[in-house]
Amino acid sequence: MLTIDGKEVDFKEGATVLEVAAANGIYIPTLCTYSGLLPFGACRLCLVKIENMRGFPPACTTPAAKGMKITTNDLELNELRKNVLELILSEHPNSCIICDQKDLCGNYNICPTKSGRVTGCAFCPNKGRCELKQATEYLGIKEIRFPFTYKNLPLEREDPFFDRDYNLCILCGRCVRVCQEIRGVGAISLTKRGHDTKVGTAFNKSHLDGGCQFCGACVDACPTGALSARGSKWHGIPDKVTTTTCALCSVGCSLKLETKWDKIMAVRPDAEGPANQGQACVRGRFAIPALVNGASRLKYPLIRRNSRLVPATWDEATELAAAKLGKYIPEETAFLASPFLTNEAAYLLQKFARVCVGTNNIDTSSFFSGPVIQSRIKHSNMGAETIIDIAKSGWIIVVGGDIAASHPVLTVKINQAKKRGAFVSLIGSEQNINSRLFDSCISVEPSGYFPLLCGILKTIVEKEGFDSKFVTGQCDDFDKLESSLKKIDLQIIAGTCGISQNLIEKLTSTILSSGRGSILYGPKTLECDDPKQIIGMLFNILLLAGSPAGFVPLMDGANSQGVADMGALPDFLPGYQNIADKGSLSAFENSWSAKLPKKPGLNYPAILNAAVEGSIKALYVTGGEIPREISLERLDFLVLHDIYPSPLFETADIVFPAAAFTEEDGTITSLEQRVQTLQAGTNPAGMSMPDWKIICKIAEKMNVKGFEFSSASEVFDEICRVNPLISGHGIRDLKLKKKFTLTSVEKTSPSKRSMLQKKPLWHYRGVDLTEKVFDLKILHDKIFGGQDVQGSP
Amino acid sequence: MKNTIKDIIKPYRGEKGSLIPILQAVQEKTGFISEDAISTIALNMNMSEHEIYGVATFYTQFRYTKPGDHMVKVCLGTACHVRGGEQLLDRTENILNIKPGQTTLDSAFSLERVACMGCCALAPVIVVDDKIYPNVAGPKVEKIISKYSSSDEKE
Repeated sequence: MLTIDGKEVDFKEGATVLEVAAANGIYIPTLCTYSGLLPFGACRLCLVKIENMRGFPPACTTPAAKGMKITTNDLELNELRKNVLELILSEHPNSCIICDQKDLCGNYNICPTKSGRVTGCAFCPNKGRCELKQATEYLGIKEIRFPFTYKNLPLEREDPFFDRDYNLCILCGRCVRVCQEIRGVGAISLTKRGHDTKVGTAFNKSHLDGGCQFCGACVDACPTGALSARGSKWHGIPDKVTTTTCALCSVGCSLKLETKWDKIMAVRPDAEGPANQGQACVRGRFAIPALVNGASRLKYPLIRRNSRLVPATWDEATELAAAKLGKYIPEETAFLASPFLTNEAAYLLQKFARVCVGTNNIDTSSFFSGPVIQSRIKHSNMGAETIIDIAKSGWIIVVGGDIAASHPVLTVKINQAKKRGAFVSLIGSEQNINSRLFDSCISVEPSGYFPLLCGILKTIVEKEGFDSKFVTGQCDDFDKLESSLKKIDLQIIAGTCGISQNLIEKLTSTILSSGRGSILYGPKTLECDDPKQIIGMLFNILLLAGSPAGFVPLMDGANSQGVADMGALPDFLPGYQNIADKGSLSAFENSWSAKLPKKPGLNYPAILNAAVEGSIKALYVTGGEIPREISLERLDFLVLHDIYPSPLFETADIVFPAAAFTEEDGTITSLEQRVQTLQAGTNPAGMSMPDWKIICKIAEKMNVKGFEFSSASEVFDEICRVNPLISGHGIRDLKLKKKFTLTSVEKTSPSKRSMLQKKPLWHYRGVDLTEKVFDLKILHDKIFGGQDVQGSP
Repeated sequence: MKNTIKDIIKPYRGEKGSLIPILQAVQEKTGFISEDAISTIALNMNMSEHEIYGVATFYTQFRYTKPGDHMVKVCLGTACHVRGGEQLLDRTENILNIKPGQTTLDSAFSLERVACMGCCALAPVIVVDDKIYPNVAGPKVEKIISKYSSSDEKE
């Protein structure tokens, strides 16, 4: 209990005075406080009076204590704050803040006029987000009594993505702290001191050379216009802000799309986002406008006429597609679902394949299809993978993936765990762009994963330091695992994977002494001889450490999970209902009122093989699934959904222009199995349409019932009805299991997918982002030294 | 040089707050704080080089360029200031063609400004290495500097 402005309030132990005030609806002006950061006490605006305390302590750094009597607002305090703010403003161009005409020009001064920088009129790119202005208005400052100093620092524009004008900087340190404390990168720092203090880098290096990852967290943290995203700097205040989910990777960050003139002009991370909590990465923060606004976006359907692709109307194109697809016998037709499709599109695509065409030849090109999905079904659920769990881990192992490049937002959680003392190690041969993230790196090629993991498991089981209560209570088959490990000789293991026994012992003793952990496994794990086994072994480690949570697949497609959940698989119906199971097949026959094919279809590599050999005659591709080296010459008919022209245009017979994820409603399922909504920020480019609509249109031309949907949410309603995984509220039904099965270790025959496709590290539906976003190319070349880096095998 | 720095860091390893003693020791051993030194410290302390640079530049005691063979210090204490220390510094800057804190391209001279040498009666003074030159008014400074550069040539 303490008293604040005469009001008696309760508070949580450890809260600061500022937090207590905010929790009780009392506003104290502050500029250097930022959510998620430790108190800093730089701006001195939050000064308060506390009885029996000397002077004016800052509310942000003073811990609340029992019996405190706090005054947050009186004449003396406000006079003091005014002085502080006036001093800040005497070094910050301020005519836009205190000019007595500012209300009159308020509508215009955000426009891109290029008047003098020194006056402070109309050059600030803050788009009306100015915390200085808020504080000035609160304190009622009308003029500044100090002479104005303009620092006259040069504008820093040599780096990609954002500009820096440190003449506008008030040295609150938020950018420096967010980079260090939240992102764990520390690419900038407050250099020098006194009047010369400036946010900068060591020896004035460029950010690119200094290891900046351009996540944009500093830009979002800046309370002034000192840092601004270059691409959208002068677009002014957005017409509309839409909250959607990022579909560039599988983390599922919630983003705010800022639109103007029906174009995405900027993207900011959503502070409320369950996965990202206000953070984003270079792709989500900066690449989306250039990706979706590209001039070469497909705007109308194309059909092949006299061996050339020519524009056509939607009616022409869909009629042609319907007529052609109906011509082939079902086994000659195959469908490929892009792991970037929405759940709705994936659901309708597999329904279309099964109902309209009558084939089970449908699969997704995601690396995380076959093995992961199968082991997931086997283990029923491999723990509820949640991103939050990563932050709570005592140890973290990243296997076979460059997480800082492929899933940068997850490194924020790893960093949180690290701050709590977690031990983070990397297993794999990846380059990693943030080497400070890892406490230890075990460099080993995928072929060495099996012996290495055998070694780790054997050491854990032999040491008997594992969580025996959890293992005996909730895990089956421990005996089998133990006996299978007996055959393994640790010395031979060390020889085959080239990792010393010592290192393995060190890692296992850390695991065993640090409580629950997290394992994040990337696409390289699927390059092993038997990926299912490797995944099972990794899960064993988690189970032996006493918790099934925190097992996170670093999926390559944004919706790899959802596309599989929706049944875009050759042997499973929606919700992993086995096609061989008569009951589930007839249930779907009833709800779709159609006869369904019983024979399991071909999987992704088999479809590609068949297309090359000519036994598949018609192929329906929804974005970027065909490796360049695959020759489709023997194919008779190829339908494409694409957002940009692609190499497949040479063979395609019909091309449907698809809407980008910022232009459609729908849902996608993230790597933590959370179903999240997409909301259209703009209309689809040109005449393009969301994928689900295209499929409905073709089905309509084929006169097949069951595709009469007018919106994505109607499709989702049907998904909720038929897919047992998705409960009525549209939430992925996670049945937390109480019993888990340990996987025994045995050398098995290779079962990896033979035709894994090489994809660019940063891609969306087969579009290489670095080709569309020039600055991303600069960053990519810097990180990887200009090599062509594949996201996977 | 990397190994020298590693040796310096070793006894401090893992200790937070040992950055400044490390920087001081590095400067003592190598004469200045180089880019390489900072990145080596960063790697071994698991800090970012920018963070270290930020800490180092807060203090005036660290220098970031290799010191020259001769250290030229111009006094700008009160007495020297009133007797023309400012002009003396200007003149020295022009002769050496560097600013205080910098080193000439041939690394013969480094220039620094100091506050007081404790010999105000001799103002204005200039100190080259350990030798104090009193009453350096007018063109005298050119002679002093040339003495050092020519002696270098003879060697």
